[in-house]
Amino acid sequence: MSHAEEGKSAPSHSSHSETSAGHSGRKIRVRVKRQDNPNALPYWQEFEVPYQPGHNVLSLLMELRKNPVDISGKRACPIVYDSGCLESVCGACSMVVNGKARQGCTALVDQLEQPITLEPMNKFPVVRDLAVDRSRMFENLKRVKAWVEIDGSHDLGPGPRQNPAEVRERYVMSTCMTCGVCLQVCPQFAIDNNFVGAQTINQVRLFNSHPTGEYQSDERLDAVMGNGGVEDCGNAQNCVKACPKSIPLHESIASVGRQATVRAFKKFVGL
Amino acid sequence: MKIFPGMHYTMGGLWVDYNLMTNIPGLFAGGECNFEYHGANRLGANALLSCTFDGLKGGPKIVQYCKGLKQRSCDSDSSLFDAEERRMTARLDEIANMRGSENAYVIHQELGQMMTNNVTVVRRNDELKGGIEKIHELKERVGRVGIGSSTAVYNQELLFVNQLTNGLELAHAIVEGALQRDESRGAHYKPEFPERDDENWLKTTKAAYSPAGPQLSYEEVDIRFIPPRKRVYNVDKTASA
Amino acid sequence: MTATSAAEASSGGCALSSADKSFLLRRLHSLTGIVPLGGFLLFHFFENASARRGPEAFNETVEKIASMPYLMVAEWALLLLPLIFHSVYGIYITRASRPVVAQYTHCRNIAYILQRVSGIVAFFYIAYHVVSTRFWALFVAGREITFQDMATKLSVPWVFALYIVGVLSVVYHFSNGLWSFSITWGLVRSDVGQKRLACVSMAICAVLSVVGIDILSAFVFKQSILSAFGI
Repeated sequence: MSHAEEGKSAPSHSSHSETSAGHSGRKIRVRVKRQDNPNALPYWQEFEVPYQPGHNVLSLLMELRKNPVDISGKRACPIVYDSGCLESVCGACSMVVNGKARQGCTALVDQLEQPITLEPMNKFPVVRDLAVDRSRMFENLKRVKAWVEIDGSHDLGPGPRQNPAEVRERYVMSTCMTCGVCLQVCPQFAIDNNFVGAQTINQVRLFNSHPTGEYQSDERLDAVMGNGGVEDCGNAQNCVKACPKSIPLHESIASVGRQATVRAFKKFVGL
Repeated sequence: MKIFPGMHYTMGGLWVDYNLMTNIPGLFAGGECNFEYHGANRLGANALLSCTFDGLKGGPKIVQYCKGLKQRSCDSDSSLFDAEERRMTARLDEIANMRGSENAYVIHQELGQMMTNNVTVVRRNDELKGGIEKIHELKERVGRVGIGSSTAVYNQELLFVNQLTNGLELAHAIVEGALQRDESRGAHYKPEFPERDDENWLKTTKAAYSPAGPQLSYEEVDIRFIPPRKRVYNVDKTASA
Repeated sequence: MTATSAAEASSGGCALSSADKSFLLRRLHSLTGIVPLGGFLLFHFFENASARRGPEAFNETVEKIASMPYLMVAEWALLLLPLIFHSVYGIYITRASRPVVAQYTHCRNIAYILQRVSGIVAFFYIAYHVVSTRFWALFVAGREITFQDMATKLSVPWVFALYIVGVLSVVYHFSNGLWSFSITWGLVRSDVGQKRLACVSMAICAVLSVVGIDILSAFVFKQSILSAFGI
């Protein structure tokens, strides 16, 4: 019955004695680029969190909001950030940690240089603190019909047989969690242009390669053969290096490039 | 790779009838948030089942219900909606202006630790009673929470406090229901009552909100088509109980 | 931005529609880099390599080219126009780019930046080179360019240095451009294929760089550098 009081100052995941031993006094320093609302100017604020092994950036933020006081002792607002799964499958906690765009939940403090700097992904409109507006990605998914189109919820019978090797390839592409990191690191993607980026192009390849999805492949290709489409890619391949799901985005981009070539030729000769 | 048990699904939920309508006419609940399918324990992949089947079954029912209505919401007097909007806005404003000394995230952590320590699979009545006392303490403390800022833009603290107050009610219902159930069944194991007691407890606990705490009542389980038997994993499936 | 993209999507975004030519322009930009500009680069190197055999051989080659039928048409329509289009559109593309160097130092990102840098350098170098040789020959000297003309120019050290920088920029831009052309048009797709193609493109870059410098050296030394080694 007294567990609750004992564990009051420790994070709920570390109720073993190992966490409090041997780390007396050590602090983790965090600098956060904050912004109070979409139209406000950003400002930096610095914090300190008592060291515990196993912390990731999000658990640091959770600690901070239990006692939101900055390094000078001034009362602060808890830092606003998006998160979901805490295991790098939802894509919500994308942020720039020590200059690198990544998921916050996998950014282990023991592997980061201090002070740890946290910034929002500035190629998306900042809403508040580390939370940004990524609706542009979802609008692009709609634009390319990133789904398998079926004409109703009536019984369509069993689906077509699928080659297991192709299914394995598609599975990798399908792990995209729309986190936006590939767009943040892309030299061709900017807040004020309309490049769709690796995220969207990968979805075009995914659904074009699905036996039922491919019925809409022409529409998908047309959507990325215009302004801001696949042609804007400069092949820097930062997206591949940054993708937290290790999706071979450069292969998707080349594949869609090929599909676009064929489609353009067919349209030109009237096929 | 280190592993540890964690909360990942809720077996109980909102009460709904067979058409997925709650006890509020016109309010439907589908998916994980309702109490269907799981009983005392939850089979693997039942989450997928409940999400897909609820949509498949509930969707047409909602359409049917709407078509049977004599009056549509847009024909209703707007004062109904204005009053509710005012009530909700007042509640949110009330939270936004809280300047107490308690921290909502600390209260949330204490609640979570109490529930994890006392209300997972193994439950003891003295610990459950202590849990209810803790909930009373937290309910009182949550009224003295301080919000960092009342700004309207993406105020996560505001939403968190709103949900925390509701979460405390839910926790209270869970602990109270567990305390009353003196038997073991599925994921509810009481060492003091290690056996199933079908005679007294083959029924679903229902909890209704009241300011004084959850008001419990019970609903019989429909066993017309499948007679209950002891659920063990170390015997041949075809063997009788 | 969202509203316009929705409007584009609903209009079909046809690549050949009058409303949206960016797909066509990009592909044309990519294509002109290979045909005719890349092809001309190789032809130009091949013809200028005659300088390795001495002034007479070079001047003979110049006369042979001058006597080609429809030369004017070829030079203006098939060379100058594509060159202007490729450069101007290339500068337009470069303007929009926001390179990220700090955290990403892998080959392809460096190549991305170098492609744009070499493109800008090549633009100025080619402008200077064409004006000071072809335009000079046509509109000032009133005769074909000779070995001696080139030798005089190149014997000025800073001009020679400029030519080295210019030639290397053009060679890199073309070789790396071969790689990105293959990706753009989808000739190579897989990770392995892309990496192998990168090796091939860098090999081409190395060979053409050596050849380019060798040809330049033929104008200022008794023998070109490679000739001195018997190559």
